[in-house]
Amino acid sequence: MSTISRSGYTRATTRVAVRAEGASELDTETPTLDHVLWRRAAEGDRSAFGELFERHAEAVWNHAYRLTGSWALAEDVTSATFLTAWRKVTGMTLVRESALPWLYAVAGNIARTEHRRSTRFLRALRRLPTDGVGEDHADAVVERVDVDRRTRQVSHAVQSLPRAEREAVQLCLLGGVPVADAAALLGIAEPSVRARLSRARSRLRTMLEVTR
Amino acid sequence: MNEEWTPPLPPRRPLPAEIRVRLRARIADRQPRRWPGLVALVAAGVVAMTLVAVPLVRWPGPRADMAAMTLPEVRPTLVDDAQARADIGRCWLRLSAAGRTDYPNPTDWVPLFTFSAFSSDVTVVASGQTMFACTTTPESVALSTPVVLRRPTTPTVLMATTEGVIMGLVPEGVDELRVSADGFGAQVKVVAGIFVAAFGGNRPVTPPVADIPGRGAFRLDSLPIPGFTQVD
Repeated sequence: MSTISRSGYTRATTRVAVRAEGASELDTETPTLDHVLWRRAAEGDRSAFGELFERHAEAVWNHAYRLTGSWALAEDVTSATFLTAWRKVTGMTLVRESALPWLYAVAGNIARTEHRRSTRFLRALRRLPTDGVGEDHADAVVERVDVDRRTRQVSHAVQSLPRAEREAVQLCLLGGVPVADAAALLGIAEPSVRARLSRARSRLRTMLEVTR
Repeated sequence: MNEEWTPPLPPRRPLPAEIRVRLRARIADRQPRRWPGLVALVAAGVVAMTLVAVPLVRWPGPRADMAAMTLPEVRPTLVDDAQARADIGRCWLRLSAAGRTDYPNPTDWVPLFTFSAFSSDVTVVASGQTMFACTTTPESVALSTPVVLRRPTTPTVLMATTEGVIMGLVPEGVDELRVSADGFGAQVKVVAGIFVAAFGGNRPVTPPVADIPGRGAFRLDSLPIPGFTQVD
């Protein structure tokens, strides 16, 4: 079981459920660190990888939505992220305690590729009525469509940033990854991450105020 | 001031159960599986009926060329949560896509134990008073027909898949039996009154025999096909 915090980071534990004839269910919770699960997954332990999935799927899915502005694309990005992780798990060691910053970075790359591939398609899509809003005036639908539209504006603006700034924004602003973790993942100093974030904020603010 | 500005972001949402299930299934479907034991067997030319069982894995035949062969040990886990989640998700997804409504609601599925042998993963599931097995291979999904969990007077097979997985019920007080067919056999552990054995790749040609210590041998004439099967 895992609980999700406001930043999307998870505090996870392993749930051990034993059910057998004549035995009551035993539930024990012992924390298992991501890097331990990662190492076991690298040794071919699918259940360890499954545990990583259960722990982080929700956070990656939410992050992918922020990256794409589409829940359908978020699902694609999420599954592609975990499949990429499974392919790469044997070749790399997790140095930080949480796998989430790395998963966010992978999701960012996949979203970027998807963005490039589908730019023309999305351009055409934006000219179409969104999600049948013309027929359905329910407040909830309008609100959801509006959130989708705003999120897409943010994701397009983020995609247009220079790579260095985009990576910092995707991790820290969209993903809530601490600056220290982002710095470690990007292989740069913390002040550099802060500087990139500051420059990116200025650009994004200008871009988003223009498009508002 | 600029440092505090943050782009407007949507609040995080809980991941809906159906999307979690879908994601699990998509990942499980495309996740390359590693079957070193099976590869070793195939490389050694052992393709014939091979019975693996819980928890002992032995080559029972007297063939000289196999005498030194050590088969991969296949252990059941009472609940391998990750396997159970992935397999249940995949089974439910296929049932749902096929429009089958004669299985219990997936939110009520409780995995009792899991078992892996060769290319088959089996999760035995309880739902209220009923139980069934969800069996997955890289290419297919099969579920036994849900039945009320009961203790029969003689060993009873509830499902035999084309890949050779056999699942059934045993009488009260039986916690181990020997299942054999086509000249091969092995000891099978019973969990919650249910036994699962896997013949490597094929349904038995002859009816399996269940030997229960102190109670005798029972021929398992009835080998019901799964209640639902889908080949991807």
